[in-house]
Amino acid sequence: MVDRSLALPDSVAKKTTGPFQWLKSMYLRSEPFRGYVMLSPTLLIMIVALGAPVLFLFVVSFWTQHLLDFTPGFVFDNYITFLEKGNYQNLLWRSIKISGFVTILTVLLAYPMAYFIAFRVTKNKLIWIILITVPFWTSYLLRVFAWKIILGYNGVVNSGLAELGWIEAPLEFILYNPFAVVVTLAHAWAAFAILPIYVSLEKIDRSLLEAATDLGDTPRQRFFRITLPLSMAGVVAASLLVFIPTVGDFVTPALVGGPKGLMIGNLIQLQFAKANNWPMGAALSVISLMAITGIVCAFLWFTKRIRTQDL
Amino acid sequence: MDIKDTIKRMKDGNLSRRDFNKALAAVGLTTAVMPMTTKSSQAGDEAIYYTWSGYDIPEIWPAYVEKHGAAPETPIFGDAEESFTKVRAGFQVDVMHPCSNNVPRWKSAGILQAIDTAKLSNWNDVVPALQSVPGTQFDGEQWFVPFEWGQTSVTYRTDLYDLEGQEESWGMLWNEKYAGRLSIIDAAEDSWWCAAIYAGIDTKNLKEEDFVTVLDLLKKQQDLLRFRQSDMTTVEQALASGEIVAAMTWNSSPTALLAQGVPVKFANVKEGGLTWVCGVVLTADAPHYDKAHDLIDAMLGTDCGKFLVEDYGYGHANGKTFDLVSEEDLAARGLAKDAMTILASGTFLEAQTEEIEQKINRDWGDLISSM
Repeated sequence: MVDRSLALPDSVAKKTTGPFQWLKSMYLRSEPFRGYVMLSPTLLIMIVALGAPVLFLFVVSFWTQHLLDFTPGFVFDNYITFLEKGNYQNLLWRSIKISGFVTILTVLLAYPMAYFIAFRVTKNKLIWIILITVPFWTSYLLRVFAWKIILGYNGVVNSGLAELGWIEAPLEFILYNPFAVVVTLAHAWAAFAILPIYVSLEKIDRSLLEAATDLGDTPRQRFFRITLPLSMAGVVAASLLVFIPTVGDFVTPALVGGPKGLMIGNLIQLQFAKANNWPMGAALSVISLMAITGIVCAFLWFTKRIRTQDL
Repeated sequence: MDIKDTIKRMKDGNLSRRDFNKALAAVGLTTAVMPMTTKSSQAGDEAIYYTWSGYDIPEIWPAYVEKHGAAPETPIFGDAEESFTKVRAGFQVDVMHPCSNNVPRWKSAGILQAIDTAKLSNWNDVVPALQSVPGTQFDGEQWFVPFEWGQTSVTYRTDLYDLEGQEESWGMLWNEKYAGRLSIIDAAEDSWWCAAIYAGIDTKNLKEEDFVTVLDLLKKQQDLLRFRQSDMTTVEQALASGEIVAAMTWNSSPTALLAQGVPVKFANVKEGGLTWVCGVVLTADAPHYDKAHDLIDAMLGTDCGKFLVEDYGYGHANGKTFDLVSEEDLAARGLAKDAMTILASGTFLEAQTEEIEQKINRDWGDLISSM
């Protein structure tokens, strides 16, 4: 390409002076500009598909809706409604609690798996990693439905236990409640926790572990003094990757949650659809966005403090 | 770049970065372009029928397939109000499937246009009383074509639910003895009104305190529910397995369950069921105006009607359908030749003002979040 443009006759080459030339010299001279140009496709998509809608959501949350018509303005009615309605607050609180449990459960289950692959698997690591992503080859909705069948009244768990003669009647407390939501989400997001933890474990310098053993650490001491602190970055990343998206999840609670297992996402969906109250839905979205941001900041501050204290 | 050549070079580890990028770009471009072109040509073809799940099967439109050789597209919704908000937000469809009570509101929101009944060959066979259901004709124009009618009532397992000598009633869904084994429909359109019938309030003149009464009743019921179903398969499976012993359903669920040999009964509740006429409307900017009419006409055909009555247990709008179905089959489904005897036996789901609809829907939102 470059060779050919150089070979162009002078008459053609002259046409590319002016603004184009200016852009080109700017591109060559300024490093930030070069950076932005390289970023530009992604940046553009982010601005159009994420930045603008979030901004619009924020603006709409201060509007009101009377019947089918929006009343643009800047009033706090929706936020006041949220503060007045205890059940809305409870629902947000429940969503955060469910996601908290999901995060803890997922990270606890993911850590041993990641540890095993990082330290025990020596051959064909790639195959192991691919195997972990296998559940992701089916759609999210199908995975949720699969859990509905596993936990169902005549499901795998119940008929299995009945076959073994351990239960008389099917267990009903395993589906249509927050427990089912936690189990389903923990499975659905497992790979998002395993992969970052695996990467941080993989990066640990093995000579540090040898040194710790040489200096008399037991395997357990070695884990808590070397392995865990050094893989903390992965654990934090995994926690965030699981916690942030699950708070707003609405498919899982809608399918396996029953009346007691609904989350804030279901209420937001309801406001935009049946209840015909977009501004309220927008306000609820903004509130949960801020709540999540607050929790994440607190979490990061807390983990950072712990890590710096250790050193 | 010849494909064999490429493979050979790849094997020899000879593929240059530029060649590789070129191949990658070709693949990327092809995948990016292909689905777009095929999809848009498909979407341009057939009428789009936005409906409840269960009406998205070929038995509903045999004449349409005969004429056009393809089936209409059928996106589905769980609640008519949901379809309304989506279409208002710009979702483009031709035909929607509300019940008659929604039509005046949807019309005034500007999303509908009148249906040209001269284009419907089966129109003259439609039961006259259904043609003129309140709120569907405006200035001599037809804005809604009736399709199916029936009622919302309680379906219960005759072997698992003990009536204890009591009459069948909406109270069955509030029976604390069966806590955790009951379910209702996840739509205010059915569940709010059924609670209102159970409360015994005057549904024609709703007062401020009536809303409180109904919401309190629904909140009380919430603890007793296993789930609220947004699709009928869920509740039918749960009734079949005995997970649920009594549920709010339409005529179709007991019909389907009885056909499978499950001992259920569609209760003849003493307060009366919630009766309704549902049908099709044409959107204001329907992209396939003529094909939409063909679809509506196909749905009014007696072949579709026979299926609707026998397999789903709903009444059909076409009067001639009932000549094809035996009296026993009708009675077993809680239907009759004369639609009006059934519709008048319960509380008819009538059109409400926008204020009342909004109040009901927002109350429903409060209810959902109150557990």
